[in-house]
Amino acid sequence: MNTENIKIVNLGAKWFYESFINQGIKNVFHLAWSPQGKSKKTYQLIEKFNSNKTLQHKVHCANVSVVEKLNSAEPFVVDIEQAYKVIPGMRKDLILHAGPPIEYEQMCGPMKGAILGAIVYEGLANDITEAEKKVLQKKIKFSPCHHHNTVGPMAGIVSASMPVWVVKNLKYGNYAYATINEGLGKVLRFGANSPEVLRRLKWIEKTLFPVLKKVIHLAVKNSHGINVKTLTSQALTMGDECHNRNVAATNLFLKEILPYLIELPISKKTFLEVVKFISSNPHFFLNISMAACKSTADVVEGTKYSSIIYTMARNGVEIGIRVAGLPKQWFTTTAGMPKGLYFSGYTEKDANPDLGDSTISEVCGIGAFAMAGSPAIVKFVGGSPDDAVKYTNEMYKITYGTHQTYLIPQFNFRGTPLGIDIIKIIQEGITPIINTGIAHKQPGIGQIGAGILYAPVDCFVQAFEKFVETYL
Amino acid sequence: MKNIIKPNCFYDSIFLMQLSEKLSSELSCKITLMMGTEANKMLLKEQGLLTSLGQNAKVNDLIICCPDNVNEGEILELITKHTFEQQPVSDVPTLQVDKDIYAVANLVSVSIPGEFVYYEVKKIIQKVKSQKIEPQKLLLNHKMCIFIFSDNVPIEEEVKLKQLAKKNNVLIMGPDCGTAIINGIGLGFANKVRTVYDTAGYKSGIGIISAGGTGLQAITSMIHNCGGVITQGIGTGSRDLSDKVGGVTTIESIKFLESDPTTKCIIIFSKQPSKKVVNKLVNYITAYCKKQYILSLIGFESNGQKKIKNVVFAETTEAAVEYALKHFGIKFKPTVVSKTEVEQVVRKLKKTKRKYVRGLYSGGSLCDEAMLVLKRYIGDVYSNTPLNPNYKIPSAWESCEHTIIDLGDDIYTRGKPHPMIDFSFRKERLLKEAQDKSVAVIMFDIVLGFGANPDPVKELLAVIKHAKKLCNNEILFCAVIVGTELDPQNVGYITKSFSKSGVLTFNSNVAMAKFVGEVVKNL
Repeated sequence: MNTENIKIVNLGAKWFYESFINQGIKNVFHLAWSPQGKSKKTYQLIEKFNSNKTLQHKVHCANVSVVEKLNSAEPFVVDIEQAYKVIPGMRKDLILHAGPPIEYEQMCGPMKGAILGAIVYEGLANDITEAEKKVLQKKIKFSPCHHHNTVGPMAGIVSASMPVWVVKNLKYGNYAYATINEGLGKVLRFGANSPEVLRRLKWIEKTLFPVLKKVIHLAVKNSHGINVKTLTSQALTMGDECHNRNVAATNLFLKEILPYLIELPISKKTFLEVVKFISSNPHFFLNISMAACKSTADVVEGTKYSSIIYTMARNGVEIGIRVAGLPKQWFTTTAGMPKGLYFSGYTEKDANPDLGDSTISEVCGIGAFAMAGSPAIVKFVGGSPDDAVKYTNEMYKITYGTHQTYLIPQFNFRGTPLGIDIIKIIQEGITPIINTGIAHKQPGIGQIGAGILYAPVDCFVQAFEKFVETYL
Repeated sequence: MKNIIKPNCFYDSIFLMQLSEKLSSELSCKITLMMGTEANKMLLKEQGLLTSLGQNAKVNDLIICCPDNVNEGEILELITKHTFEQQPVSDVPTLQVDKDIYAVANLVSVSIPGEFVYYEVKKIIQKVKSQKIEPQKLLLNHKMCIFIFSDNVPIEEEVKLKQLAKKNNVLIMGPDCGTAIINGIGLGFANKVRTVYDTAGYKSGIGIISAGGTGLQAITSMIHNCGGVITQGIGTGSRDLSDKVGGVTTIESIKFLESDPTTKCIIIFSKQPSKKVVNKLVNYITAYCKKQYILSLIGFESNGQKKIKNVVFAETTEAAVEYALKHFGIKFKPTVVSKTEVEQVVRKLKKTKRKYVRGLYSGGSLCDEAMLVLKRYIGDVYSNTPLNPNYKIPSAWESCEHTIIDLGDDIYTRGKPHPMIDFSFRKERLLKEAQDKSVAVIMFDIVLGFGANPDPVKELLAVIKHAKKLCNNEILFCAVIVGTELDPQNVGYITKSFSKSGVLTFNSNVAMAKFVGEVVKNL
C-alpha cells in the first residue's frame, strides 16, 4: 500500500495508535493528551484572551517591565538582626511559616514539629508537650513568611528572637529577611526539635549572630554590604544552581567575609567555631540567596496587567502562587510529591509533600531553572546532564525573558529563563520545574532526600482564570 | 462504596475502562476509574458511585470508586503497576513533545473528551492556516484531514469547526465518526477491504460517504466480499446531514469523489437525515455532478421517488451495494433461506407458542436498518432508539413484545468501552432474553475489523450454548457477520464457528431482517 506520503498524528487514546501500527503504517506519531487541569471555562477564557489584542499588548508591556525590574535588582546583605527588631509585624507570640496561609491543625508533621521547637526555643514553654498545649489554647499566632517580607526554607519557621539576614534591594530600597541556615541532618527547618537542635539555635543566637553582625557592619562600611547578586552569578558558573546546590556560593561567601572576620577582636576558639560552622554546611548560602530573591521579587507586586508570578511557595500541604497583576491573592492547590533520591533507609512512602519558600529561587531564574549549568544536580533524579539541559530549555517556553546577570556558559552565556508567566504556562501546558529537599512526614526526623518535580498545574489554572476575568 | 483520589495525573478514558475491568477481575469486585471531569462526575453520581470526596476531584484527579473493604494502598499500588506498563519510559515527569508536529502531519486522528475537541481541533486548523501548503490529491484535495472519533461535542461547536475547516481547506470527519477508510488506511473501527490503493493496482471502484460508522463498515465489507473495490470510505460524523450542520463534510466529499478519476459511483449513507439538507444535496448533485450517486438514507421519505437524474434512492445498504456493484458487472448474493426452510422454522416455533423477536445490536446503523425492514413485515417494533417515537421501551433494561436494542446507546455504554469491544452487557442481556418464554427469535450483529473485539467466538459461543439450554433449545438464534476475510478475526472462520453451534448466520443485515420478519409474521 502506498502510504508513505500520509503522515498521521494520533491525538488522544493510544488504542488508535496501535490500530495504525497493526495495519503496518509507519508514519504515525502518538501525542498523548491531557487537559492539564483546564476546564471548558479555562478554554473559553483562553479564546477570549487570544482574540483581545489590546489586552495582549497591555500584558506584554507590563511583563516586559516586570522582567526589567527583576533584572535590575541589587540585593545586598546590609545587616543581621533579631527578627522582632526588623521584620514588619513580628511579635513574641507570632510564628512565621513557609508557604500559603494554613491553620495549625492542617499543618504537616515537619511544620508542626518545627513550630513546637521554636516555642520552646523562645522560652514560651518548657517542653514540647507544653508548647503544643499553648498552640491548642490559641496562645500562639501564625502567619506566612511571605506576608512579612520574609522567606524560610522547608518548614520556614521564624520566631521573634531568631537572628535574620537583612537584605536590601539597593535599586528599589526595599528589604527582605531570612533566618541563618542551621546545617544538615536534624534541624528545625525539617521539623526536628530535640534539645540538640535547640542548643544549636541558641548557639547561633548567642555566638554566631554577634560575630556575623560585626562582619556585616564592616562590609557595609567598606562597600554597601555583601553583594549577593555577584556571588550568585559567580556560583552559577561554578556548578551551583543556588537552590539545591550551594557549595560554590557558600565558599565564595566565606572567602568574602574572611578579611572582616580576621579583623574582629574575637578569640581563636570563636573564630574557628564560626568558620567551621559555615564551611561544614554546603547550604549556608541558601537562606541569603532566598532573601535576595525575595527582595527582588517583592518589587513587582501590584504591577497592573502583569501575568508574571512573584511568589511560589509550599507549606507541605498546599502549594501557592501569587501573580504580580493580582497582588496579595494566593492561588493554591495540593502540594506535589518530589521524585528523588532518598538517604538509605528511607523511601517515597516516608516523604512529606513538597515544602518550603525556597521556590522563590525559581521565581527569580535560578534553582531548577538554571539546572543546565549545574550538571551535578541531576543525580537527584537519576538523570543525565542532558536532562538538566532539557529542563532549562523547557523553562524558556514559560518565561517572559532571560536573566542579564545569571548566565549559562554552555548555552553561549545565554541568561537563565526569568519571569514565570501564567499565560504561557496555560498555553504551553508546561508548569515550572522545582528542585527541592525532601522532609520526613513525621516531625523530628529531618531531611530524608532531595528531588525534583513539576509544580501542580491547578493553581496556575485558577490564577489564569482570575487574571483574564479581572482584566478582560 | 467509597472514593479514593489519585491527584495530578491524567489517563485517557479507553485506557481507564480497560484498567477498570482488569482491576475488577484482579480484586473480584466492581472498580470504576474515571478522571474528575464535570461530565464524568455527573455519570458517577447517576450511578450512585460518587461520594463527597469524589465530588471535589478536579479534571486532573483520578477518581477510584470501589467497595469500602478495598485497601487504599493496595489499589493505588496496582494502578501504579498497570499505568507504569502503559508508560514504560520512566516515572520522572516527561518532557513535552514538540507541538510543531502538526506542521508536517496531514492526517490527524482525534480521540479526546468531547468538551475539549473544539479548542484542540481549532488550534490544529490554525496551525495549518499558517502553513503555505497546497491542497493535495492524496488528501481528498485538502491540506489536511482530521478524523474526530470523540462524541459529546456540542453541535454548535461542530458547525463552527466545520466552517472554519472548510475556509482553510481542511476536511473534518466527525465528531462522533466511528469509521473511515482514507487512501486504504482504516481509521477507528474499520474493516480491511480491497481499495484502489492496494499494490494489486485496481483501476476503479466505489466511493462511500457515510454518517454512520457501522453503516460504512457493512457497506464496504459487502462490496469487498462480492469482489468489489473501494476508492475512499469517508466518514462525516453522525450529524453531518442535520439541519444545523447542513452537510458541510458530505458536500466537500462529493466534490472530491466527483473529481477523482478512480471513483465510478458513490454511495451516500445516513440515518435520519434532515429533509431540507437531503434536498439541498440532491439539487447540488443533479446540478454539478455527472457520476452516479446512490443515496441510502434510513428514515428519509423520498415520496415514492426512486430516481432523480443521476441520483438513485436505495432503501437499504444492501440495495445500495447491489446497485453500485452493477456498474462493475458484479451481482450481489445475499444469504438466502429457502421457503421450505422458513416454513420448517415457523412450524417448529409455533409449537412452542413463542412469538416475539429480540434484537441486540452493537451497530447503530444496522439496528435502525433492521427495524426499517421488520416494519414491512410486523409493523413498528419497540426499541431504545425507535423509528417511531411511540415505540420507545418504557425501561431501557426490559424488553417488551418485539424489541430491537441499540447497545451503543449512551445509557448502556457510560464508562464502558463500545459494545463492539466489550461484550459483557450483550452477554448479560442475551441470557435475560433467553429466559423470557415469549421470545421466539434472538438476532444480533457481530462486527469485525481493526479495533473490534479480537475473539468474538470465544466471547459469545459459551453464552449462546448456555442460553440455548435455558430455553430448552426452543429459541432461534440469528447473526449477521460484518467483516472480511482480511480482517484479523476472519469472517470465514467466525461464520463457520457460529453456524456449527446452531446459529443461523447471514452476510447481510437486510437479508437477516427479511428472514426474521417472514418468520415472526407467521407466529
